[in-house]
Amino acid sequence: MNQPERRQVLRQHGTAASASSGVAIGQVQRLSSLMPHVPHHHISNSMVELELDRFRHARQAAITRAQKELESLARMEDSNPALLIKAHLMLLNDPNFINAIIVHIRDGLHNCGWSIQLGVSSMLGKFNTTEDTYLHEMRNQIMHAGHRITSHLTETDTSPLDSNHDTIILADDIPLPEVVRYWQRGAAGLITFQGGANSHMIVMSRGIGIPALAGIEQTTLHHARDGDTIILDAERQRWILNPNPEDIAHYQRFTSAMQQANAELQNFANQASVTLDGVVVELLCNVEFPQELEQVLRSGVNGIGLLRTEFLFLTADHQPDEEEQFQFYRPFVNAMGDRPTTIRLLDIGADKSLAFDLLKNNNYSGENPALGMRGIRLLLHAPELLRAQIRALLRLSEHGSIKILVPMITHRDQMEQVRTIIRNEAMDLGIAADTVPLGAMIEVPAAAIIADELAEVSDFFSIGSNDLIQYTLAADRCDENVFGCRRDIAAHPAILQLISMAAASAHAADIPISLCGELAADPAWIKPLIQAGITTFSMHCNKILPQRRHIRHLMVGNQNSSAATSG
Amino acid sequence: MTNDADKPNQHQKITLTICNKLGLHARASAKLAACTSAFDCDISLDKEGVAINGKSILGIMMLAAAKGTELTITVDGHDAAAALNAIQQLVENRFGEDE
Repeated sequence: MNQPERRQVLRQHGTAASASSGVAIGQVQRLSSLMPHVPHHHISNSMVELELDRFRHARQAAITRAQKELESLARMEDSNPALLIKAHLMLLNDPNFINAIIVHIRDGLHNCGWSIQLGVSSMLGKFNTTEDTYLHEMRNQIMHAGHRITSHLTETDTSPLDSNHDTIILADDIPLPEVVRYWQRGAAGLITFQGGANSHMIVMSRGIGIPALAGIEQTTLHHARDGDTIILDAERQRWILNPNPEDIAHYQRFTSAMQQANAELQNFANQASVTLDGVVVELLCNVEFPQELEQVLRSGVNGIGLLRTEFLFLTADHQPDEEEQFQFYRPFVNAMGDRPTTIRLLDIGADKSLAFDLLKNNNYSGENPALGMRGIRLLLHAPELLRAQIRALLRLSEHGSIKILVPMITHRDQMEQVRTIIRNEAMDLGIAADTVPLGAMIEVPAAAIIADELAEVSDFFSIGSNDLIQYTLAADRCDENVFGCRRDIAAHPAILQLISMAAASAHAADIPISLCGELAADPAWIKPLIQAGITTFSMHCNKILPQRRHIRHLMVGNQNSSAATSG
Repeated sequence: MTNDADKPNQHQKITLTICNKLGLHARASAKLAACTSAFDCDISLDKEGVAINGKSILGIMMLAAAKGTELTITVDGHDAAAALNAIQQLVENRFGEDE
């Protein structure tokens, strides 16, 4: 945390490709993109042994984890990922590697995390500077070995950021676990140069409710220095560096108005979601990580409609096993009590890449991932992965009310296969499988079209509107050109027609149906969707209260006839 | 890395050329370090006068030995001959790589 240099300050402003929500005014803190951010402090001579001990423990934990990863790859001993893990393990045990780091603790009197950075930098510095791809790869492995140790230090590296002012983190990119860590350490906002409309950093920031911007043109914010004042306006996707007093006054008024609006919205937390003409609507929330639960509970929901399970997998540097998954899902179920938690089986493959890219290295990713191995297709090809998740969920079912949702269903037999696996694992665990409802995600047009058939093998439906739009209209959700007119795209009559078909099949079979995705959170869509026969919606928890207010002022009109005729 | 006192010490030296396309990259370094670490004898690798401990993966990686690099391998210890033989095989088999 360097002191800012004396220099001319220039007011500058610009936009971002994507934003979470909220506004923050604070001081810039830039991060190096090379290494995860770790705090730096000097230690006294009497602290050296303690700090060396921290290093020893973190290194041992890193070794144990790498060995576990290697065991999970036992069948592919000579595959590239296994060899790289072996290389990491050897580095972690290599006295030269260890000494290059601990010299900075013992002689430099730096804290452990910082010493790892210094040690890794000095090792990298010893390579010839000639740019060669294979040198680059080796540098990466040394860096990764360092990361492995650092990642086990983080539990203790949660010291608050500078408490004298609000800190806004500015970085090339912020990995997902770091986003949570900065939030926990009290960062007021996050800005990354990288990232487009679908930046995961933004999705995560939205989830935990921290103002964030992604996708900034480098040149404009390039010369921001530590300590510069910046306004981060995630509501209007813009920023102002070195704002003038008018800017600050304007934003202070804006934030206080926002706080007041939020306080008024909070009145809707304990009210029923009923339209003026008496249609009872159920509002559920989408969640991804436990940090969101506080906000979820404040918004008064009927349950969790979509618990995405990718977070744990995307942030882990190894494949989470049954027990880790069980421990990860448990707080959600505990927080919901009697209210149901719908957990979606792992949906990776399309626009999400695994940090631990075991699956990728197994050649599971195709040329066109959105049409390739994702969702249930991938899970049925990786039965170990599916079984571990199902076992964790079955064990969870003994602690609360859970439902299992299967992503990317296109065929009836996929549901049947999953049900067989659930039954077998339940028998093995001695748990009653019949108590856990199994639902099909309706997100591919084919599933909506054969919804009547799927209803015979499903206990409930959940329409994934984002993917349903993408697959129906052949419109890439990651393509910013198409994304820009998304709202118009959803208005295509095919969308509502497919939704109505699924709803009609669900009603005929007397199974519940809900809808998630961006349409659920869009006030303009609530009425047509209720008319199409959907009365349960799952959305991000910060959309629940505005949506409930909207519903309480809504006249739906003729509900049933519309549902019967459309589709 | 201690020598077995019961057996006579052997001191041998050989020069090998890295012949796999990618050179001593991270995975090949891991294979070489795994191989050298299996022996009791001291092993050092020398590239253009820079010698490193042949059992240290970091040392091997730092050599940055691309294809065509000549490495002088020196072994010292009771199982030196076997070590040299294993290292030679690994290098000449291109660390199990196709090219």
